[in-house]
Amino acid sequence: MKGTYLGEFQELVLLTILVLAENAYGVTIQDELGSRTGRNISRGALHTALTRLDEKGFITSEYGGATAERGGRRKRFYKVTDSGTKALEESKMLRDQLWSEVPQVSLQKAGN
Amino acid sequence: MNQTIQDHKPPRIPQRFLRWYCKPELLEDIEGDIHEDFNKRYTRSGKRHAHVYYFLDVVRFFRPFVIKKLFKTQNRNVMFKLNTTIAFRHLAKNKLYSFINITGLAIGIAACLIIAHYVIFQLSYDKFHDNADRVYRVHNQTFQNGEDLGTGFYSGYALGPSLIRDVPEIEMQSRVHPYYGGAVVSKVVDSVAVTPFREQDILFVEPAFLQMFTFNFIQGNHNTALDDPSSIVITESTMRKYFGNEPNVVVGQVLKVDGGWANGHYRISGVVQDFPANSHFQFDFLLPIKRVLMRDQYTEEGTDWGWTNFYSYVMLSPQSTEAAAEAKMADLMHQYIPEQLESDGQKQVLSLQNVPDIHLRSEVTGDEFGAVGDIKSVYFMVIIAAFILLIAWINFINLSTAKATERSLEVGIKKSMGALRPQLMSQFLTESFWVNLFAIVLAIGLTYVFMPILSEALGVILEVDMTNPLIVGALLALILAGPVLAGFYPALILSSFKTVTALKGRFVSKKSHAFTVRKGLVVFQFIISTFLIAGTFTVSRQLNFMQNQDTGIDMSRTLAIKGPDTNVSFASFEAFKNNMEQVAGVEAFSSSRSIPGNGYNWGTEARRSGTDRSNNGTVNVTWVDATFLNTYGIEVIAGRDFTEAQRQARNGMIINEATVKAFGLGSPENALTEKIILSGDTMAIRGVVKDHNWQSLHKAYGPAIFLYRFASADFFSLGVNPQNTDKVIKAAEREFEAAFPGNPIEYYFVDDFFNRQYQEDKAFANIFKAFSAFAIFAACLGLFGLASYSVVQKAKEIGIRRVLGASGTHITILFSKRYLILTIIANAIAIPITYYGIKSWLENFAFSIGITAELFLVPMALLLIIATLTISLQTIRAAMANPVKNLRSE
Repeated sequence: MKGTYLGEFQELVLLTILVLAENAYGVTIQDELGSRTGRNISRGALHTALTRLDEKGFITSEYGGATAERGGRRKRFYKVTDSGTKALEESKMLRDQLWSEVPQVSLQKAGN
Repeated sequence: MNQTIQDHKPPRIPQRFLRWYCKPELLEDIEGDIHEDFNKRYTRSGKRHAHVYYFLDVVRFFRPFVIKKLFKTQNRNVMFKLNTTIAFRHLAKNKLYSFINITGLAIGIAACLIIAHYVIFQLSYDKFHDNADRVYRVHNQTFQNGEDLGTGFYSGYALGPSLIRDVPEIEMQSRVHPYYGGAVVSKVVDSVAVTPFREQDILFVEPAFLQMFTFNFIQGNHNTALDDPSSIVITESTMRKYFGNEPNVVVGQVLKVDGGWANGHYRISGVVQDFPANSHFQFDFLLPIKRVLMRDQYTEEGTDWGWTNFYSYVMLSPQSTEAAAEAKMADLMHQYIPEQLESDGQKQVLSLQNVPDIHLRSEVTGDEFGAVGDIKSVYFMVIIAAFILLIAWINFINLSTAKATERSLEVGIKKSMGALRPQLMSQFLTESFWVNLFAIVLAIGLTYVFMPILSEALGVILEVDMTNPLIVGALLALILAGPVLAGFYPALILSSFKTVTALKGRFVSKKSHAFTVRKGLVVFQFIISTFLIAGTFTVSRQLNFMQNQDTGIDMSRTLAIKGPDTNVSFASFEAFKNNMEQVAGVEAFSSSRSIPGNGYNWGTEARRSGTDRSNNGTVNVTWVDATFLNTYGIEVIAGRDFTEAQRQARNGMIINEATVKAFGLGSPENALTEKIILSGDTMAIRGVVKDHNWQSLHKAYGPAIFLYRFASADFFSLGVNPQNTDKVIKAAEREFEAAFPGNPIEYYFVDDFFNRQYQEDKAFANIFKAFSAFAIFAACLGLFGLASYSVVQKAKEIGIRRVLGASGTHITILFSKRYLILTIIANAIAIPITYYGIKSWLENFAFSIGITAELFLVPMALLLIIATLTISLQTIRAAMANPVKNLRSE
């Protein structure tokens, strides 16, 4: 199952791409993730995740037009594939299922 | 917002780096992202910030998934494998050649590794203290009437506290007072002192000493260990010495210290780990300085700057600099004792020296406390290491190019099959790589074998540590650089053959540049060898000279006994003296406060009576009794020896010739009419003795004065009849124990004792010997290899000469000649270099052998003999071989 396992960070990246819809490329994904999680995401880590997701077939990408802000280089826009969406759903289902089965008692925080 | 962001040029070097390593399919994407961020940062926080982050981004992308295959052509790996196979076959085919090559290189590298260990050790002194960078020793430079008298570190006890008071940069200070003369220390069990040992390394220090330097307390409290004036801190090895190998807690146990400075009982308040060997001072016991300050000697009026028996360490506060502290302390002594310094015509300049610098770069010009290294000897070792490595590499180059003829066919065929020059070069470099690699592996083994032997010669125990980053770095550098440095030239030569001539065979003309370079390299090797042999020869001659030189003192027949530290009453002294004088074979008995080779008792100032204080000069004083000069055979050239019939003051002083000269007393006879003011006391001159070597022959004769003392307990000297030596020693042991119970006896013949001063010189000579042996062996290996190849090449010529009637001797001479000429040329070039080296080394000695032709001729002759033997091994065999064998095959 190693090939299709979805890590926590990869899951976040996938979701972010979905959130950003048409404008998901390296810099925006990083900014979005950074601002939402409050974590400082390294560019390298992000690209590692993107490469892995691509290898697993969860995302595809295509080049957009060249822009001046990138020194004349094109943006690579990412899209989540169907299998990507499916993997996300599976992951969410698994979590929902687990949440639903957590006994109420253990959710009460100590001291309440 | 996007409109406000302009496009800027990113820094070039990181950009190029990124483009170099990044997979092409990812490049546009990644570079674009980084660039976009760069532009944003540029607008937001400025150019600098943006540049820094651009660089960081590039570095952070240097990850496996981004990096393209930098060595992408599979072909190279295949070629490397193939070249390796060829190299192995070639090495296996020429076993002698491979052996010489690999051994020579391995020896060179091993020598370098060993020297590297030594150098690392020398450079590591005192770095183990956590605060090493801000702990300093206080030095003082003395000028008299503007003349620099040198730098020392001894000062009065008032200096330490005034430093803390007047120099705000100084955070802590500790005065140190060595336990001069040593003491007998014993363990007190049930109020009885047992296991007495004579101890030398005892220091009185302040509590701050424990904070400034890094001590690892095994027992006891680091912060309070020396607060109580009756506490004592000992080292772990001292603890084992007194309490056995498996002691329980020894804190609280009592030690008795007897030696004259601060006798009494001390309670052990701490046990610290021994200092490592790379410390500029060592100790076995630490005592609170309060104890020694209680002595009358230091409590009397006016002794605060007078008794210069102390030295000080200080620790600066973290933010202050050495220069700032020095500026404030330079003329500190002139604030406290201006009148005294002025009337002496002296200027005292205080300065600091960082503790890790003391070992190799001590600013102190006189005697150091403990043995001190010298940065020059470290440089010297590095040069020797470089020489040996060079010799080894030259061997490799020579042997490889000498084999050129043999491999011409191989090269020719490869070239005609279409091999390009770079491919051929990579083949020979691969060969070089493997030879170097084998050599390094062998060298590591050799290092383990030779290190114990050589570390003994070096006088320091060194452990092989192959994990030291510097050693690892050096090995990596050797693995990478060695094959290229040593292999490049042969590869260039071998791959340069013209295809057709190479295939034809005979191609190396006698005038080819390969041969001249080779000759040049052999000459260079022999220059180094001559230099090292001559050096070795000079060093051992000088050492021999120093040990056998007539010092003006009769030492070989004099047995010295170190006096007792405890239970010395005049009665027991008298008893010992009388009993010893009765022993058959004892021809003289003398007591004194010091003996030759042990230094002087007191360095002080003196001047001729009738002159003023600015004429003060330094003199060294030793107290002896009336039989001393006689026992040691020191010749009195004017006046008389001391006599027991008179009191101390009436006996006056006996001076040496150097004193006569230094104070302008005229002739020795005339000096008897003069008086000398010694440290304020005017004294008559009773006699003049011939100059003699009281100290090692490194030092010139200096003004020295003997003062009379009826009886001293520091040293007893016995003039011994050589036939009765054993009996005298037995008697001395018996009588010493009877007279001074509880004192371990320590005795030696004075010549042995005197020669202990040359330990460092001996170590130096040993190093020189060991490494010149290395160098000569490596050079001879090279010569042997070269000769053997030239013989193989000329096998036919030899055969023809033999058939036509040449004698074996004739052929041997013919073939040895050219190498002998090379060694002679090398010798000629080596002479001036060697001359300079020998001359500057001998300048370290006030008494030296001087430079004679012999120092050059003997090494040259030796080298010629060694070279001839090496070559003859080959040429004689060739000359004696049956010529038919060599001529038959075509």
